[in-house]
Amino acid sequence: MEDPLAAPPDVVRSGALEERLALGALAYPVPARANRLDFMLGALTLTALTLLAVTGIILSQYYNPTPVDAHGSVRYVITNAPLVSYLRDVHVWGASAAILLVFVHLSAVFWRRGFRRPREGLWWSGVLLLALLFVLAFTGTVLRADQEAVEALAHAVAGSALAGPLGAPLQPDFTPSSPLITRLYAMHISVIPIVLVLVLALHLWLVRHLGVSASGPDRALFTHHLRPLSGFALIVVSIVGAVALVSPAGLLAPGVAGFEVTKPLWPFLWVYAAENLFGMTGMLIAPAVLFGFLAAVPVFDRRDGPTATITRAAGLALLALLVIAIVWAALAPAQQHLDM
Amino acid sequence: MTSSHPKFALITAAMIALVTSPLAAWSAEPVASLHPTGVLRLVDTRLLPGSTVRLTGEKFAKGGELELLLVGIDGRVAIATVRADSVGKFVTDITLPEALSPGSYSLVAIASDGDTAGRLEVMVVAAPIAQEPVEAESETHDPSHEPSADPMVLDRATSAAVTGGAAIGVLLAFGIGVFTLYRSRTGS
Repeated sequence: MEDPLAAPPDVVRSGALEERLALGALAYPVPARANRLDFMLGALTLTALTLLAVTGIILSQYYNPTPVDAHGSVRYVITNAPLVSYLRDVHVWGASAAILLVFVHLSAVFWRRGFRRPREGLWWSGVLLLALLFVLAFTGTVLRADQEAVEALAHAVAGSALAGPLGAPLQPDFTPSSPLITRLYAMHISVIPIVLVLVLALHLWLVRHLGVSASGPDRALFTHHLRPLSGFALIVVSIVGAVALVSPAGLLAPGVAGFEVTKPLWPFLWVYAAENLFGMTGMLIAPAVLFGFLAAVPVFDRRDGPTATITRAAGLALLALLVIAIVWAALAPAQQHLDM
Repeated sequence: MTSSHPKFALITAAMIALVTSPLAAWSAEPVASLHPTGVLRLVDTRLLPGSTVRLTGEKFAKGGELELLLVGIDGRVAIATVRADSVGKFVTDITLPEALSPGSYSLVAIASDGDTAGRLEVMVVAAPIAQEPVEAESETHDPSHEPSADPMVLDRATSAAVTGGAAIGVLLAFGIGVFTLYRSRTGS
């Protein structure tokens, strides 16, 4: 008589740990073509996010999220705690790595049209993850409470004022019981990560059950896919660690409100470029254009044809414009925006 | 059914009492007020090390003791201790330390319970602000008066163990990564 509590027959029993953790369930077929780097970029982004989470948890023990002591706590870490200071450098460079990888991943999926039916939900959850990454990068910048942080916050407050009631939580006078930097800290370490994990769970569920958008009849086991993936992941971690060793993250002087002498972190330079051209409304227009286009991609590019060709061309043009805007804003002199 | 009615009524009454009694207690007691947000004022927020300036405060806790600190590049520097009067105001002369580094600071009033009761952003300048004949060299803009986009020059904490361990970890991760890639290629 069959034991009703026995493991399902598809679980491969090959060791005590594998049996109890059902690791054999990872041996499901995936397209053999997925064993290439361009199909592992999402997982490498997840590797960078994991690095951020681990280093962030340690940093949270040393950070003081109050307006008076925030900058001092960061400075304390740099000048008194060498290991935590190195982990802070890894955290800062890990953020850049995560954003770079997510853009490369998005570009690869866009190029091979991995958003077409039935993967529209997969694409849209990915776009949402991109937006959440940007929010994490912004809130993380603000927590330093140095000059760049104060200016970034001033831009966000000015932009939130344009957004009406939706921007109320970003206003300093939203509540007298908690300063804005403390509320942004709560967002950075709890609200946004929780939402990100939930959206990521959906994203991974859809990847597992809809499959990767790789063509070809050949199949390989996912466990075989994990081997090169692990190799690439370790290389990414080693690159971030090496860059953190040779180029530690800096800290500007405590921020003084009312001045604009800095530029934002490189992932936000395209927004800065839009502000240079269009004033403060550029800060809202640029992200709206980018994320609006990304959200509309599965709607316009459903099947091969002129619309698909135009959508692909528009995407490439937008990517080129993004890169040009970042380079231009990096080289252009700092400008005042808050009075524009 | 009829025998369950008294029990149901008893349970319902108990639940209503459980829910409403904290509400009643909460509404009966006066709501604890938040810390008064005090206001600090200086004639000029640009300060010289070693100078004495008059600081006024209002809207603080009546009769409360306040510790005045400068928080900034030099960390937390104690300045003075004052006591607000019966209407929450005070006037005092504060003397800044001679060895204060130029830069932006927060002048903070800390209440006796440790909370920040008031805050004022100030700038400690290196050059005198007094009205003196302007010479040609001094017409150039003193950068110490304005914030900078350059990172602070900090005395970073270093440790041979951390640096060495990180370098070894980086090399190990890279080496194992490359080896894993090589094995996955040759094995497939």
